[in-house]
Amino acid sequence: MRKIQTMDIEDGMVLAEEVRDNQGQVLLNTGDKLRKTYISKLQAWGVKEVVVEGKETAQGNESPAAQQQADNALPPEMEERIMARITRRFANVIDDPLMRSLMAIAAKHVLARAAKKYAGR
Amino acid sequence: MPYSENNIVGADATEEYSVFQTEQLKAVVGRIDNIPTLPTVVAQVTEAIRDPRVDASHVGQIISRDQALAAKTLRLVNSAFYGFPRKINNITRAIIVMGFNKVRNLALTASVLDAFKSRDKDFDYAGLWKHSLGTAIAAEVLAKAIKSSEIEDAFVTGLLHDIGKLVMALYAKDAFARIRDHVEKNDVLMLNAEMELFEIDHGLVGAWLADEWKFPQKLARAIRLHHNPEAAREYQEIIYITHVADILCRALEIGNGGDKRIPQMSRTVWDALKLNDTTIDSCMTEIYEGLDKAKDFLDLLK
Repeated sequence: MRKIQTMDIEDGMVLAEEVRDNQGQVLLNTGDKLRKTYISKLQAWGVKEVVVEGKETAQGNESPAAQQQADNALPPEMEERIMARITRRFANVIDDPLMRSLMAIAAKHVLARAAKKYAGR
Repeated sequence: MPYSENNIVGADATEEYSVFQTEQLKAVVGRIDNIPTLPTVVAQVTEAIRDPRVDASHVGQIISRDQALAAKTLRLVNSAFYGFPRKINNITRAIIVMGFNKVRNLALTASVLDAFKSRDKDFDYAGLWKHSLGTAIAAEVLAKAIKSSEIEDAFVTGLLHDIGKLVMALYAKDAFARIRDHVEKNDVLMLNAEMELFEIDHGLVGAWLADEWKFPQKLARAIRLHHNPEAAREYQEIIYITHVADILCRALEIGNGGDKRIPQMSRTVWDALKLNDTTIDSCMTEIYEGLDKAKDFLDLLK
């Protein structure tokens, strides 16, 4: 186990010691899983450090590269259907360069999400 | 009232409703006393928060007078979206932990949530709720990204921006059916159909409801002008944020706002908020992440 700063908390870290606020009241118990969203709340309670399980670097389940590859696998027909739908939604505003680049960015995210869903089905 | 396909000017954005608009409102929404009253508690809380002498326990007591509302508010407080595993059991504690504004916003949300639970098959209420939630998340993400002073109110404003559609779906069924038919046949924005058929838009209807229910003025203005942000004379920042958040949410295909088109983003707004592709890109990532975390919020509809 090791002590880390509250602001260095990452999703999935597990508490090795309970966390108390500055009045001594228990906020979180040993064994509780941490989330990044807790950081601001813990800081609001005056908690500067927490003790978590594990060694120096947090181990993810998969390497980021492997995760990325899994995300990219979407059948071409599905990708075409999604792109056609997106293009249609933007049809009225596509002459505007601002909306064109917005569409491109959105399409990237929509496709990535669809790919993730498809991979996880 | 003037409008064109791409450059939408909604209903007039002056302070009062014109005589014409009031008539149109009555024509569309019917008798004004059809609308149920929001718990007076919510209006009382809004008033109380304005007073700097008021403390958490006093506001807590006001909300707790309406037990059903207090219970619903606490459910929202404890929902996974707020992320903290420790259950909060009373309103006063919620205020201490989250602050007045957040709790007021949740009480408001709790009051309105019931209206989205309609089992009528005539309209996709769940889709509208999801779109509203998506816009709420988008608004908060965007506000944080641009370090806006409106971070606290972004969520609730996004959540309630389309409340006018809900009012029409529930209380102006005939008019709303005509609007939906027009949208279906012509594949236009609901806004276009509303203006074409009735010369008022859901922003105006929503703002009228917001006034009836004594919502904070800033919220009413954002509801009224989210499709017409350039008409804003005050509260520009939150109105601009809501305008963009609605568009981002639609672009990301979150929920169903009742039509299948993306509205034109206002160039004025884009420049005023100093937006760029990088900001939008990272916001979109966070919006989807926020949506995943907000699963409990979606489940509240059941």
